[in-house]
Amino acid sequence: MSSVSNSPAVEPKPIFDWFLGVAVLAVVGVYVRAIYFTPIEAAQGAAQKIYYLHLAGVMGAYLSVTITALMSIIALWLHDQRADHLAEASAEGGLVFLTVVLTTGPIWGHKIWGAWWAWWEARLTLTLFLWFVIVAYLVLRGAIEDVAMRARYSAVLAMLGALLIPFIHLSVYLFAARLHPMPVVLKPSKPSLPNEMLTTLLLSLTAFTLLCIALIRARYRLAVQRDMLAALEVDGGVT
Amino acid sequence: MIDSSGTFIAGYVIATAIYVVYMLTLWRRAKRVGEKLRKVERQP
Repeated sequence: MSSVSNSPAVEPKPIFDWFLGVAVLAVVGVYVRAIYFTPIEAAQGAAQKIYYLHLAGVMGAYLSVTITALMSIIALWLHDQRADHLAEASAEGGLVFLTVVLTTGPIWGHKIWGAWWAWWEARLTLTLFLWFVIVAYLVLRGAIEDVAMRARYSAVLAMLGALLIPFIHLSVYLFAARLHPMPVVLKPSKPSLPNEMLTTLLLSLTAFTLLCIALIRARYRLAVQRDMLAALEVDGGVT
Repeated sequence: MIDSSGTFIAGYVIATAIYVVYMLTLWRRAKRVGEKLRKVERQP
């Protein structure tokens, strides 16, 4: 079961550490590069630079939701509470990144498409559906006190969320009616971006992946501290 | 080229705000749990 220590003598690790500091610095560096040192796209103007945050948000969300599903399976299989905590931490990170995606996208779309949202657009609607699945996952976890039952029920939602990812990514190929641009990087052929923009995008993906991992680490540590507190309260008869 | 600098600024400000607010909520929750941990550990 869990290898989380219940010993009162163990000092909990601070949830924010050097790793988060490095990730935040990397993100700041990407902001500086994107804003000041990356050319403005000819047709869309400065709004195109939202792309560097939007796509990084997508990658962070995909990574987080995938970790949530994998850790949910491991938690069910090995009954390891650390995996369950990691699943929960990743889901929260995934919700943050998905929220960034679902806000930056419509802001860009309002200017470029002339519409905040299009319900018939499969990629948009499926991404919103994934957001609701992750919200449901977190609400469900908050509502169930029994640890084993919580892990089992929430794992179903986690796997449903992860199964949506390929559909979201391939939706622009699967549906003829679309508004969302086709992939310019994650596609079988060569990326169709000028070198300077591609470099900024790759740096952005790296920085936000670091931020994603750092946030998941921090949230995982919080979950471990909550476990320690619960164990101490039970040991000490505190209610 | 269209002038879309307002859209660009709005996108960056809102995305940054979402990340910062989340980090603040993490910090606040950790602070609360840390205080409770210390309180419980002090009890005989």
